[in-house]
Amino acid sequence: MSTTVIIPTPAKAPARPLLPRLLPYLLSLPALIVCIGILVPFFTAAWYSLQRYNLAMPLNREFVWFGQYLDMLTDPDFWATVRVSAVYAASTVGLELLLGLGIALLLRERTRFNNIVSVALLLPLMTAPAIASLMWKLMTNPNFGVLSWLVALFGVHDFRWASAPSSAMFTVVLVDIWVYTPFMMVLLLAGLRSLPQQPFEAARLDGVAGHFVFFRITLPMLAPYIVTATLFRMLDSMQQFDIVYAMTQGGPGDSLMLFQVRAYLDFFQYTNVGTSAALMIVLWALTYALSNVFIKQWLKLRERTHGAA
Amino acid sequence: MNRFKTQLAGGIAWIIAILNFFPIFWMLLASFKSEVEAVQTPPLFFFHPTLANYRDIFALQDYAGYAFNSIAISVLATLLMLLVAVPAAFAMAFYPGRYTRDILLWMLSTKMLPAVGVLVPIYLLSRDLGLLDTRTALVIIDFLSNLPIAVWMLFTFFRETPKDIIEASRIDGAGVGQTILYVLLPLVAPGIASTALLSIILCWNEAFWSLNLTAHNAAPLTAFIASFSAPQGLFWARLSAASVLAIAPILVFGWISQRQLVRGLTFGAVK
Amino acid sequence: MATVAIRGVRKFFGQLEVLHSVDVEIDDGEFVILVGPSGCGKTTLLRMIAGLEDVSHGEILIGGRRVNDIAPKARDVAMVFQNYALYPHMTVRQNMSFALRLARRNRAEINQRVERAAEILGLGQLLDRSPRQLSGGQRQRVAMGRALVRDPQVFLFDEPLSNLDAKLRVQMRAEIKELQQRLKTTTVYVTHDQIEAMTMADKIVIMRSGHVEQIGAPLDLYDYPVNQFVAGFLGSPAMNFLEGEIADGAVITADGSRWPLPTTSTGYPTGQKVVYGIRPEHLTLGEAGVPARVQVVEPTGSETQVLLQAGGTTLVAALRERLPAQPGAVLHVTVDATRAHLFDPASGERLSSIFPVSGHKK
Repeated sequence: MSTTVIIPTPAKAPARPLLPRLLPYLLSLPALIVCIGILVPFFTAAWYSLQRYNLAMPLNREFVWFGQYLDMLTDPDFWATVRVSAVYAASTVGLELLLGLGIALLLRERTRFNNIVSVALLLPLMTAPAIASLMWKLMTNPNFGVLSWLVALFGVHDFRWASAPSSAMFTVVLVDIWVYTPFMMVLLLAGLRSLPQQPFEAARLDGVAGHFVFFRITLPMLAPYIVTATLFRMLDSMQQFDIVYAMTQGGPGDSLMLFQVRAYLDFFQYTNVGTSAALMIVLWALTYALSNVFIKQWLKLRERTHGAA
Repeated sequence: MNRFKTQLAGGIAWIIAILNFFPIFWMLLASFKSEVEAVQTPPLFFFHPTLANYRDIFALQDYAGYAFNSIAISVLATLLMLLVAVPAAFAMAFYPGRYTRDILLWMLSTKMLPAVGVLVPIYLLSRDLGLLDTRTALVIIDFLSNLPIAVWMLFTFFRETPKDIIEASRIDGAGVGQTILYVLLPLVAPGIASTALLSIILCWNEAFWSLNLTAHNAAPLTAFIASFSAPQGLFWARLSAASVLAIAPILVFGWISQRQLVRGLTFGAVK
Repeated sequence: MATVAIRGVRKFFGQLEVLHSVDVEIDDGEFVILVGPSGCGKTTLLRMIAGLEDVSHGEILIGGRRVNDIAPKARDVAMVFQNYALYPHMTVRQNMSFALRLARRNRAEINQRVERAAEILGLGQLLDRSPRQLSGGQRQRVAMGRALVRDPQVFLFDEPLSNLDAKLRVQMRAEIKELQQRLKTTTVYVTHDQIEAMTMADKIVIMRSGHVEQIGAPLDLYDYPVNQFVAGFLGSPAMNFLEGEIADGAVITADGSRWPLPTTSTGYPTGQKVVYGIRPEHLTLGEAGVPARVQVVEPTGSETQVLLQAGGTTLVAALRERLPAQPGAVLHVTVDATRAHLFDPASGERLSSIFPVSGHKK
C-alpha cells in the first residue's frame, strides 16, 4: 500500500446504518455494567482494609494505610491461616484429581452401565454443601455416627473425627472430596471420551505396555482438561467456607481457620471490619496470582495439543 | 483375562457408586427413625419406619413458605441472568471485537472475589436500601454471582453454532429477529437449558448469603435447615427429614435433566 | 434471471487489501466460475455478491440494480455453502421450504415447488428425514434443493463439491451443469479445482492474490493464457516450463538443447531470456529431437504419462498411445511448435502472441 493509491471516497456517509453496527455493543452493555457493579463492593472492602475499623469501637476508626497488612505479617494467627488454607487446598484438589481421574478411567467406555453410574455420581454435586456437611456430621458423630462404629469394628476406638484437632482436617477434606470429586470426574470423563482414538490404536498395534500408554499418551493429551478442572477446583477450594463452617466453624482451636472462615469470624464475632477486609484482599491476591499461573499453563498446553494437529 | 478385567472394573464402579450414595441414603434412613433410634449405637439398619419427623416439620415450620422462596429465588435469578447473559454472549460470539476475549476473561475474574470480603459492604448496602430479608436481595445477589460464569458458558455454546447456518438463513430471507427465532434459538436451546439448569442448582444450594441476609420472610430451604440445627438443640432425625425435604426437589430435578447438567458442567467444550 | 456486474470492487479487512479493483461482467444465464488458489479472494468476492460481506469500494449490480447497500434477503440470490449449512433442527422439507415460508407464499405453492425440486434432485423419499440421517451426497443435494426452490435471480455456489468423494464429485459436476443449462439461471460458482472450472463453466475468472488474472471461455484460457500463472494453473498434468535464452531461431536451455520457437509469431529478439512453456500433450516421443531419459511411466489406461529428464529439468509428456519403454531408456522428444508459449521470466507475462487474446485485464 506504499504506492500512491487513490481511493475514491464515496459521496455518502458510511454504508451501514448506525444501529446495526452498535447493536453488539448495546447487547453486551448490561452484562458489562453488572460486572463493573460487582467490583463496587470489592473496592469498598479494599477501602475498609486500609482503616482501623471496628464496629464495636466506632470512635476509634482511623485511616492506617497498610498498617493492618504489616501487622498481619507478624501475626502467628495469619500464618496459621495461610498454612491451613494451603494444606486444605492442596489435599482436597490433589486427592479429588487422583480419584476423579481414576473413576473417569474406570467409566471411560460408553456403556449403559457406565453412564448410569456416572450420573449417580453426580448426586453429591447437586447437594448443597451445607447439607452435605450435615450428612457427614451425622455419620461421623463420635458417639453414635455410623462411621465411628465402623472404625471401632476395625479396632480404632474413640476416633474423634471433626471434634479433635488432629483429625478435623482429615474429616473435612473427606467431605469436600465427597462433594466435589464428581466435578473432577465429569470434566475428565468428558475429556477422555473426546480424545482422538488413533494414537491409542497405534499404540495397541505397536504392542505398547498399558502403563506406558497411560503416562505417555493419555495423560499428556488429557493435560488441558486436567489443568482446567484443577484450576476451577483450586479457586473454589481456596475460598472454601460452606463445608468448613457447617462442620466445625473453623475449630477445634484454630485447626480449620481457612481464610474465609477467619474473615467471617473477625467480622461477626469481633466486629472487626478492617482486619476482615484486609484478610480478604490477601486471599483475592493469592487467588488471582495462582489462577494466572494456571491460565498461562493452560494456554501453553492447548497450543501444544491443538497447534500440531 | 480381559473379561475378568471388565468385571473387576464393573465391580469397582459399583462399590464407588454405593459409597457415593451412602451419605444420602443414611440421612434418608435417619429421617424415618425416631429420635432415639437415630442416635442409637450400634447404628440401626433395620427398624420400623415412621413418618413422625415429617409430620412434625410440617406442623412446626412453614416448609411450603421456604420451598416457595427457594423456587422463586432460583427461578427469578436464573431468568434475570438469562435476560442479561444471552444477549451479551450472543453479541460476543457472533460479532467478536478486538477485546472480546479480554472482556470475557475479566468478567470471569470477578468470580474470584471472595464472598466474605464483599459481605460487609453488601450487608450495609442492603440495610440502607431496606432489602434485608427480602427475596429481591437474594435474587440480585444470586444473579450477580452467576452472571460471569453464565456469560462464559453461553459464549462457548453460541460459538459452536456454525456461522454459515446463520448466513444461510440471512440469504433465505430471514431478518435478524427471524434468524434468532427460527434458526439460532433452536440450535442453542440445549446450551441455554444447560446454563439455566446449572444456575438453578447453584442458587438452590446457595447458603452463605441466604443465612446472612435473610431472617424469616425471604429465607430459602438452606436457611430452613439452619432453623432446625440451631435453637432447639440437635434433633437428628428431624434434622435429617428437613434436609431430605430441602435437597429432594433439586436432586429429582437434576436427575431428570442429567444430560443438560453434564453438558453444562463440561461447558460444551467437549466435542 | 439477471446479469451481474462487478465494477472496480475492492475489499479491505482492516488494513489488509484482499481484493484489488476487480471487474467482472456476467451475462444473463451465464455459468461463471471463480477459480484460483486458496487465499486469492474468490470466496470473498462471492460473499460480497451474496451480501454477506460489505463492499469497501466500487459497486456490484444485480440485474442492473446497485446492491451494495441492499441486505442479502432483498437481493434474491440463493447460495449453496461448502459445508451445506443445512438447518440441523429442520427436516429436509422444512429446510427446502424455509425461504418460501419466510416469504409467506401459500402452502400449495410451497409444496408444489418443494416437490418439484425434490423430484429434480432425486430427494423424493428423503423429504421427512432430518439432515443428520443423510449421507454427504444427499446433504449436498438438499443444499441445492434449498437454492432451487427459491427460483432466484442468481445461484451462488461456494466450493459445493469439496467435501464429496471423487466419484460423487464427478457425478454432481455433470448434474449441476445439466441443471444450470436447463434452468438458465445466472450462476456464480467458486472452486479451487481447475478441472471443475474447465468442465462446468461458460466463463472462467482466474484469480490470484486479490487480482483477476484472466477472464474467458475455458478453452480460450487453456490455449491462450496471458501469463505463466494462468498457463500453469489450468491443465492436468500442468504445463511444462523450461528456462532458456533465444538464439538463432530457437530457445536454448542451459544444457544446450534446442526448442523451436512458437511458429505463430516472428521477430523474436536474440539473447532474450525466456520461459518456454509447452503442454504435456504437445510433446511427442520418437527418433529425432532433444534426447530425453525416461524416469517414470504412468499408464492411466486411456493415456500414458511419462516423466522425462530433458532440457535440464523434468518434463511431463502425455501420450495417446502406450509406451513400451522402460525407465532409464533414452528417447527423443519433439514439440508441436504451433502450441508453444514464451513467457517473460521476470513478470511472467506472455511474450509470444499466438493469437490476439480477448477479454483479459492487462
